[in-house]
Amino acid sequence: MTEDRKPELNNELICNALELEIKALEAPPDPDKWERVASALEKDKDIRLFHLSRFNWSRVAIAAAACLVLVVSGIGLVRNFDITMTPLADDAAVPEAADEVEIFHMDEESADMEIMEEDPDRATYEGIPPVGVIDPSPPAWPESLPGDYYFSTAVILLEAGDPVYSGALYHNGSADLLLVKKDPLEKDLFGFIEHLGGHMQLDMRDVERVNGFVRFVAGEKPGLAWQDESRNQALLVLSGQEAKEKLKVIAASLD
Amino acid sequence: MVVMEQSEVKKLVRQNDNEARRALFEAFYGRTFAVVYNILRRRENAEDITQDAFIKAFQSIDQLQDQAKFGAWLTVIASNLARNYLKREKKIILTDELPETSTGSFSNDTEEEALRGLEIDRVRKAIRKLPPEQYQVVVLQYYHDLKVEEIASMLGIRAGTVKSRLFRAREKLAGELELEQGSTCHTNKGGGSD
Repeated sequence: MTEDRKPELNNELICNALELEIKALEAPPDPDKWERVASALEKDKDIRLFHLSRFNWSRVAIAAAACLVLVVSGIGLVRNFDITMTPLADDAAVPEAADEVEIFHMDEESADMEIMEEDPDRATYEGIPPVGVIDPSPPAWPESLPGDYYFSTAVILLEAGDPVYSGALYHNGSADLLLVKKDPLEKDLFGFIEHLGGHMQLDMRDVERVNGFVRFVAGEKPGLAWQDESRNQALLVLSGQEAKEKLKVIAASLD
Repeated sequence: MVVMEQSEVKKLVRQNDNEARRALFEAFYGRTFAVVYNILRRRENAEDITQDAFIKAFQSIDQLQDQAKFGAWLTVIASNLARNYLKREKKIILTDELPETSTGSFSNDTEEEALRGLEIDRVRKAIRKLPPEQYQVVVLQYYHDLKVEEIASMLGIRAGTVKSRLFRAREKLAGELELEQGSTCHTNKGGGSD
């Protein structure tokens, strides 16, 4: 009997409601609106052609610098790999048991980052890179951080094609760090951490406020977020081990 | 609303000249505007942002791998622009009243149909109360028929985050439905039947 009928939320009901809702709020595509879109696209085309027609030395310099950074960081990575693979140098005997070799192991999160940067299919799936791309014109990141961390790569983290975070990767031979900045300042630091976690595809947990910083665990690694006058910032350990206290020292050095 | 076959959408996306873009604009403007308007509640801003979304989409259309999903991709771009706008412009006070949700039941409807209409109205009201990030995933799943993994990939977030947003959204919708139904039952028990 319909009197006893209990409303049940099922997919069909949501689909019907959503369809009606969207239909009710629709507006017709006026020719004026199309004209604005068409003229913006036309201008964009002109600008692109203009840029293509000019030989831009500054762009070439930026591209060359980016290549250099990549090559240098690539060499660093290979050397590090070699050192850990053969700790006794060239004439060292290779241990018989594979278990005895201490192989440099990149953590899952860090491996994901690499795949997303290097695998063009994954990076452009549906046109929206899930994590980020190499920043062709990065802001001034510190060359080094306490704990013998050295700058390796600048990245832009994208969402639906929009840059949402600037980031820099740092390496110290045993761990990789990601320093992230988000402009402009949003007061909700917890919201920032949650969004960053979603973006990095990491579970953020154990979030706690400690002496002006917010500590958290990203995946299985420690992380730290804080605010300065103009932006939210975060430090995440991507691979290797780093102490929470060291992250605070690094964060303090950046202020 | 112009309804377009997927094969036609694919063809136009590949073609990507002025004529094709205009056809896509005409086919997808209405529904994209509706999603943005639902998030912003300000017609003028919603119009501007919808147009910006088309500009952005056409500028980067070569990045779209599954051309049949142009509509969903455009929705992601437009709803992200709307969400970013809301974050930036926190001072917005005046918002438009959205049109009534009534599905317009008629006296010759059966009781079953009338009840169904009421349920749909309630869900529509509840949809309007969803926060933008939950509304976004609900539209992508239930309107654009995307899988959780596809939504995650399009939004650049984890599948688990999509699932939890969908779960929370469904919880809110169910709660709203239950609440409304509860109050109706209470009135009836009090002898409210005409």
